[in-house]
Amino acid sequence: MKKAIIAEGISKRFQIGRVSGTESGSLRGSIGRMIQSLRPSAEDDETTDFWALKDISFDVEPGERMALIGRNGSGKSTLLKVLSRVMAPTTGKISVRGRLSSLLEVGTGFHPELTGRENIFLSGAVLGMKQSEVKRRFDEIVDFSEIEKFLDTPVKRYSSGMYVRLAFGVAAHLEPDILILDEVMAVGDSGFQAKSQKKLDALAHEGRTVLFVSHSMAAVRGVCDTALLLESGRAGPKQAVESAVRKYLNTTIKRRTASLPIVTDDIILVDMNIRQGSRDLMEFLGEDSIEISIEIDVLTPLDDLRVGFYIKTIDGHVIARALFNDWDPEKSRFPAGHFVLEGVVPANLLVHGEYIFEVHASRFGICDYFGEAGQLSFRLAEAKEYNRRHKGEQPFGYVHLDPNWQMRRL
Amino acid sequence: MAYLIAEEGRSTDDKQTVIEITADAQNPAYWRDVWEHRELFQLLVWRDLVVRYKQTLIGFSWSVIRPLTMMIVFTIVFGGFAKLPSNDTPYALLVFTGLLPWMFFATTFSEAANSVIANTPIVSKVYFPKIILPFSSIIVGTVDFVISFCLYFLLAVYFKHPPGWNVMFLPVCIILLCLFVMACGTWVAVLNVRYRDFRYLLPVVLQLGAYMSPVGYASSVVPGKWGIIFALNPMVGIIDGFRWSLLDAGTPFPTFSFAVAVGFTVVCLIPGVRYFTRSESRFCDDL
Repeated sequence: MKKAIIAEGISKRFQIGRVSGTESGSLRGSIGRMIQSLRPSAEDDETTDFWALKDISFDVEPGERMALIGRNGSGKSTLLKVLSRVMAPTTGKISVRGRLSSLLEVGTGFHPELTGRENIFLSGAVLGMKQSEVKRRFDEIVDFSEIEKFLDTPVKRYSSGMYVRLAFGVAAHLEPDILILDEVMAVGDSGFQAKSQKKLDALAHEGRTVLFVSHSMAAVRGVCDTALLLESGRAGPKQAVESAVRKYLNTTIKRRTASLPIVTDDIILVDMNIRQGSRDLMEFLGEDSIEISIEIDVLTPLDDLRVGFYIKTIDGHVIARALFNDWDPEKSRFPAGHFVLEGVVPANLLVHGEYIFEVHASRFGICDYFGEAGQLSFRLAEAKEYNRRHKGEQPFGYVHLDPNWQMRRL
Repeated sequence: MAYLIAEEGRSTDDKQTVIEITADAQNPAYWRDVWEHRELFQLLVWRDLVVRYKQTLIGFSWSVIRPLTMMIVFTIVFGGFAKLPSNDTPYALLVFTGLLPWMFFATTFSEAANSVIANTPIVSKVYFPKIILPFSSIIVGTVDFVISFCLYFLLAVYFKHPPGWNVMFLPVCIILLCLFVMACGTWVAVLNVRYRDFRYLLPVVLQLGAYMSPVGYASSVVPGKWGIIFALNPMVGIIDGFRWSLLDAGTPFPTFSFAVAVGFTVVCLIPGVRYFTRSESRFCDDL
């Protein structure tokens, strides 16, 4: 099979000084620069250049689902815009085989004054569908979006959930060869998210190629097989999604541990640690307990301090919270001094996957000291004694549950 | 950005379009792309028409009320108070023949000039040949134009002053007007993306233009020595062309000013369209 996308040496330069800013967007600034450029020393202009993408090359097989992973500002969105022909690259060449549709936001082409019905046709056209196709798939789109009753209501009166459903519904019925998605999954209620996920999977399994960008590592892993890790406009080699997600999380953690201690007015987070015997920081066994320690410096005596930790999913949902004073109000009193709190996350609590350990310190209703600054992410390896046939389904949910099954013949 | 589109593969099911994206600002398949986006073009026109008078009480009546009130005011001020000559035609008709092309020009020019900015949400999210944006503004303006035109014929009947054979020349004037708007619109649409100064400049130009063009008065009131300078404004030729075609007042055809309008349009249109199509791949950087 021929590649769906071949990108060779893509770079994109923004001329910061010229594009935005108060003077640059006006005629006066431009004329001023024209005069300036007549002078021999025109070289210093280079300093205002910003390379959003630098020499990115990759290729995508037909039917492959590739994620673009990176922090804000790493160039993901710019790359998607270049791929979807919205922006021209500064250098490089991309060849795209087949019809490409991009969904860089929810509701592209929607007009608030128009009805749902009208917007289906309009948005369809904007996204590159033929009107005959829209007509043919109209009922499917309406069914999928569950907005039948509101078809003739202007979309400005829609709830955000309805709006998202309709917008996704139109886009999901596109029938492109290549589908570019940017973070659209992050919206909608959970029921619909599951539905759209299913739809995406179906799209991908019909031989469509999907490029996906999201901050939710869970969504990325759900949708994609491979990933490209972007950092400051540069891309690493294409790799399996699991290893890319891990690398991405590791680099984010490095940043966070580097920013310790976290200093506030009343309390300093000196150190935080999660360990499992001699195992390295990143990967633990779910079958064994994990030791945690939190080292704090209390600067002023406090009698309502709540210290402890959260365990969260990578998308930031709280799985559990454990505070030092959960069982004993006396443990809210802290004299000034240097303390270390130690504890364990019990064995067989969580299933295989990525989690966040977040140190929490607050005074109820008064202040939250560290917010999300004190986070470490960790990973639990695949369970060893798991039904091999269910291996592909690991992880399922977050909490380890062994109901101690018994079966009796009746 | 260049898109060399080639159909590849021998068997029909293997046939897939291959698109090349590069930094080059030229796209040899541009006009084919435009043709392929004709449905989008139709829908954008339809959208702008449907949306325009949403949430107004009297809706499309505005298309009738606007030219009528303008006509009444201009007739009272220029014909009634200033007592300017009307070359033996009802003054209201003289004004209306000026308003027809002028109002079309003023609305479509400013709509076309703002068309790219107004469509930022789609320009910055999906690919399509952007030239359809200013072009659709002109088509949308045509609807108002047609309404005004019907109005004119009703008035002509009322004033018992129907057009004569000169009306055969009218289509030429209308086509010239559309091309002239396209020529101005493409230039300003691109400049407007880059330099928002044009957004403030445009209303001023249009307001001054309404007085510097013979909208509320006949060109014949302009003193001879100013006539040449006056006629350098391309709208003079177009408006006088409309008047000559519709009023049949026995005045000679405005050869000089009409030639200026044709010349200006010819010189600006092609470079304007080219400037637009070469700049459009950078629109997103500036929006």
